[in-house]
Amino acid sequence: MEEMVRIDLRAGTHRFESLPEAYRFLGGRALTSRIVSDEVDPTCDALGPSNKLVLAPGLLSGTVVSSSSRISAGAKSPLTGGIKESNSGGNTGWRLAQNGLRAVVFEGRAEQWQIVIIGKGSLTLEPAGDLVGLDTTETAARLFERFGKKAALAIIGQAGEQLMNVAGIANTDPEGRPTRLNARGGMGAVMGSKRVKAVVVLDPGPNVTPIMFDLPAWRSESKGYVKEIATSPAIDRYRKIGTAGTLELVNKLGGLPIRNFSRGQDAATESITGMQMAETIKARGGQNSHSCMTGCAIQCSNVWVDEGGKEVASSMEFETNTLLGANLEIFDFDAIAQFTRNCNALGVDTIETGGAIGVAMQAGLIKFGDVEGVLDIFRQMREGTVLGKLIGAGATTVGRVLGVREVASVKGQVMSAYDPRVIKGNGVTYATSPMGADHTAGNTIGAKLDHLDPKGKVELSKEFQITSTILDIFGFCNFARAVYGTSAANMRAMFEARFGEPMSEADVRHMALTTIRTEVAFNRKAGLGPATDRIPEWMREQALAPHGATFDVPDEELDRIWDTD
Amino acid sequence: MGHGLTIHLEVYLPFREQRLWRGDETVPDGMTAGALPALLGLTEPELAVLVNGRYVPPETPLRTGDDVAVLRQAEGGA
Repeated sequence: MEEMVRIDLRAGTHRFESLPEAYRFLGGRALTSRIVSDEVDPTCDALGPSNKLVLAPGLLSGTVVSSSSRISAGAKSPLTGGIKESNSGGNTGWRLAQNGLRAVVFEGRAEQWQIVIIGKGSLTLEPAGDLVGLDTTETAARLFERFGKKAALAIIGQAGEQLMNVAGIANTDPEGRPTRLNARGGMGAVMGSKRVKAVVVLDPGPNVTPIMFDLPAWRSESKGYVKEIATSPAIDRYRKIGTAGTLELVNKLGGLPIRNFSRGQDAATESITGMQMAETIKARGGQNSHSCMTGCAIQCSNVWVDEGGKEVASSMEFETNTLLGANLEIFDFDAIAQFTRNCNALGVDTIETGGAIGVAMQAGLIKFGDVEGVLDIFRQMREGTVLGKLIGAGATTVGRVLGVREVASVKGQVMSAYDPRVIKGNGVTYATSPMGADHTAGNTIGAKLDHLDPKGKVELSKEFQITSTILDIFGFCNFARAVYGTSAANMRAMFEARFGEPMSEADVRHMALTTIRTEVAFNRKAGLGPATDRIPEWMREQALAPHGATFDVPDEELDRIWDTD
Repeated sequence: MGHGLTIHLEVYLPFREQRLWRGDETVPDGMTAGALPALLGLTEPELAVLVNGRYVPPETPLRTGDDVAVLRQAEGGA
């Protein structure tokens, strides 16, 4: 039987429920957004007891098939004011699905901080007292001591406890590092508002998987998909240079955020290229290939170590290296690794935090390039000073408070490492995704076409957004998109093997479009009208060097993106 | 018959025993963006060729003075 569990934190009770028929074929983003849409008042206070936090693995999660057990966290976002689905790796999704759960719904607000312990058919609430105030690393260490290292953890750090908009939910990787975040949109603040410090998902035993309608068919079809992953040149690059190699590409395209999105290219970035990172990690004895979840064969993650070979941070990603590096005019991997370590420990989104610090630098609060100044900001965030809380509120709030107009955000969420004036397909994604400026909603950088030309970018973004939504629903990593062209049939067949129901290409597309339209409808009721589906005005006015580009996709095209199938 | 054309070339992957190779390169007249990696002996799949900071169709002829970058196709974090 497919189940979900609902936790009333105010009452301290819970109940397991059979998954309603209407939710039977919804997973990941489709399920979190449907539950939020069905049950949360769009006008509610995102940090109040009426909001609900939903965790949901994908439809096909729960086995060790490569990169198939992502975890979706959904709620009304305190950052955007709209609906949010934030997606993460780590082992939480895998363990929840192994325990037979399709969703966990957190309702109300506890009087005291809680730990939620989930097993097969069991759920327990325990006081979190001794964990309050601890960072994610120490929290994870204490929980593993109590519950064993085979458990998966979803926890918040001090940022989530302080209800910061930049706070995410930190999920543990196969070695137990709490470094895989549902980062975007303040889902950690929503979890903190419920007074849930940690979710512990217990190991149900060896080789436990969700019930398969046709296990031999599942094994056969998943083999086809895994073979694609194992042999695809497009996937192989992630094992060589991770995501970090995107930096040299976007820099050469002239769309890399430098100095708070004021330039698109800088020769100084040569010290933080993916090639440089891979060489340094290899020379120091770190890990250039690493799985963020059990069974992942893509292995885009890495482990950065210092000159003495001691682990500093996992993982160093392109977006992190840009928003906490180039965007702050800090071209030093060791400094960026320290920032990443701080972000992981606090439990915050590296993109939103880097964007907020960039705006603060533009206001003159600290100087661009000031490594010690950035480290002091992290200290202030931990301690909860006024400055720390200001940065923790996100880039848009920093801009409003400090009088900076040049904030690269949509719906209050900062853009990631692709300037929309150059990577215009991503600009369309930023503007039209119900998630706010989030490249993972539809990252068009993989298209080999002229990104500067505004023509066709709405259709391009739309197709990427649909594919990303499909992958989010199934539970697959976005990088599976590299083999989606050849594996889509495998994935549909895996669905049929799992559930015993047919799934056509049109069905999958319909499922994604329905999800997106449900989210748009929630946003409209929350007060986020079409005027919020826009790239900021200053990015239509201020030309970006070296191409002198502005964002020039017509508004009317943006407004029509979801009108047709 | 021409004598070839000279482009400003950057190669962002191991090439001529360097991690990042940069310099002027003379290539045959009529050389296209899509054919350039093979001419340089770069056999790695999934390469991106940018001409003056933009993707161009592979059949696009290169011109003297073009800034051409050869990189690994890549995509950021999920």
